[in-house]
Amino acid sequence: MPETVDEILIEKTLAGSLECYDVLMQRYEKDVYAVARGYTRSVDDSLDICQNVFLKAYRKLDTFAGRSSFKTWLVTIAKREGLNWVRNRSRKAPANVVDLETVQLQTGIDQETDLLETERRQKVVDGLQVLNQRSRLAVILRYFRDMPIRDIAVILDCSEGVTRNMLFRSVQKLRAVVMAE
Amino acid sequence: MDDCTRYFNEIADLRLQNLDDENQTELFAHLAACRDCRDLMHFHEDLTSAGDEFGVVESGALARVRERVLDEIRSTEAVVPVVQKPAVFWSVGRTRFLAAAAVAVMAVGSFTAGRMAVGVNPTGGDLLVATLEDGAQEHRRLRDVEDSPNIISNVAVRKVGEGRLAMSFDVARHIEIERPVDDPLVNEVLVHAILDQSSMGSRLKAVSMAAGVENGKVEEALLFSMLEDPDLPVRMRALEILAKRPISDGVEQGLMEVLRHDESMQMRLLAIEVLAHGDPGGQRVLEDFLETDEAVEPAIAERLASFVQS
Repeated sequence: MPETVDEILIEKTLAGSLECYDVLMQRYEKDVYAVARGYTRSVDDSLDICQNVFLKAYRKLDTFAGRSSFKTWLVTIAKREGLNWVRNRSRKAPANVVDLETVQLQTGIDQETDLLETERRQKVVDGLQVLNQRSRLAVILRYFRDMPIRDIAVILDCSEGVTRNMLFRSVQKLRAVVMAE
Repeated sequence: MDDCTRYFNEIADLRLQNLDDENQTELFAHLAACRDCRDLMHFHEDLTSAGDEFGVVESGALARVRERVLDEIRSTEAVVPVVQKPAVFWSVGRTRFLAAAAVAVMAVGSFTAGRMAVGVNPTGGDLLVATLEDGAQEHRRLRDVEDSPNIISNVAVRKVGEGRLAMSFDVARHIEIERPVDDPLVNEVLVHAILDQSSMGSRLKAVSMAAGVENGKVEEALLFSMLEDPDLPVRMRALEILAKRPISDGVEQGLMEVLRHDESMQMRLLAIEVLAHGDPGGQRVLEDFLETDEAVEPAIAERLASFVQS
């Protein structure tokens, strides 16, 4: 018997309800989008990755066995899709070219203090590029999406201890970069 | 400093309100006495607020993505979620579906393979489709389909008219060959194996086998593996293989990437060693790196200094 909202939605989707799948997508679209942004700083590419993730998840929904939460399962698909995106791009571009299009944070704020804060946030977001993909994903999931360490460890396929160490090192590295600027 | 390392997780837990009263009191006492941890806590706040804007996307963009997904599903008439519950039923359901699909191919005779649309009687040397058709006609029982060397997956079916179906699916076939090490097909397959996310073992083996292969795309795959493979043994093996070759500019830059970003200390130390013992260019790169004052762990700084001095 399904117990959680996700399980009910999954069961109904498997029975043919696309409305329920729409609700499932809505529940996790921001998580998937944040993961996608970890692999590409282009909004359009991130949205394309999201679309692929949700299509793949739908097509594989009957293989979801509930060993982890649906969110963890979905983010794992997003990670794989992001990696494929980088790989395909690296095949097209020279190996030493990294995806570093400039991102403009969307704000309509013009007060000086807010601008300073925005600038600081921008530095942090820019600083994410110094991290490797796994570390960047760990930081995004932990700090931007509030995901528990144990779920991140499942997604990264490593122990909770390794995940904690990775986060520690990543935050120290990010902090050093932001402070150096 | 050991204490500060311990408080790192507590600072993060505090943000998520996961810290109990006792630990909070202890943490606040530490924060009052330690400026570095106070700064770290402020940085956590910056990091969290950066997250508020990191995922910002134009209003409606994600709704449009959902709409496109649903359109795509509707247009392919949702073949996949035919099984109510996975795992146990999956193999049986899948096999039955494959059998049904094979019958459908025989009966209808219009299908697509990959992105390629194929007519009723494929011509022009489309051997793969012809082979599938032959197999479909020969298979009389479910077991014949199960024993087929062709593995069909990712199937989607939709009606395209009275008595006709359009099908798209992936076909995989197990092949065994023996070729010279510089054969283009060998290189192609090795690259696929190095990038194969499904098995660390096969990636590790493929990387090892690439040792004697002089080919641009294989080297590029090794470089990608050294930088991005999720498993340390594979990254390390790729680095070792690349180190045995003449160090190109791309590999030198890759080694510097490892030195700066790899999460494994072993990898970073190995990268230093390869650069230091390579051509003079590598040593100059290390000297430049040391002079830039980039933040590095003491062990790395020590190893760098020892090579640069010698």
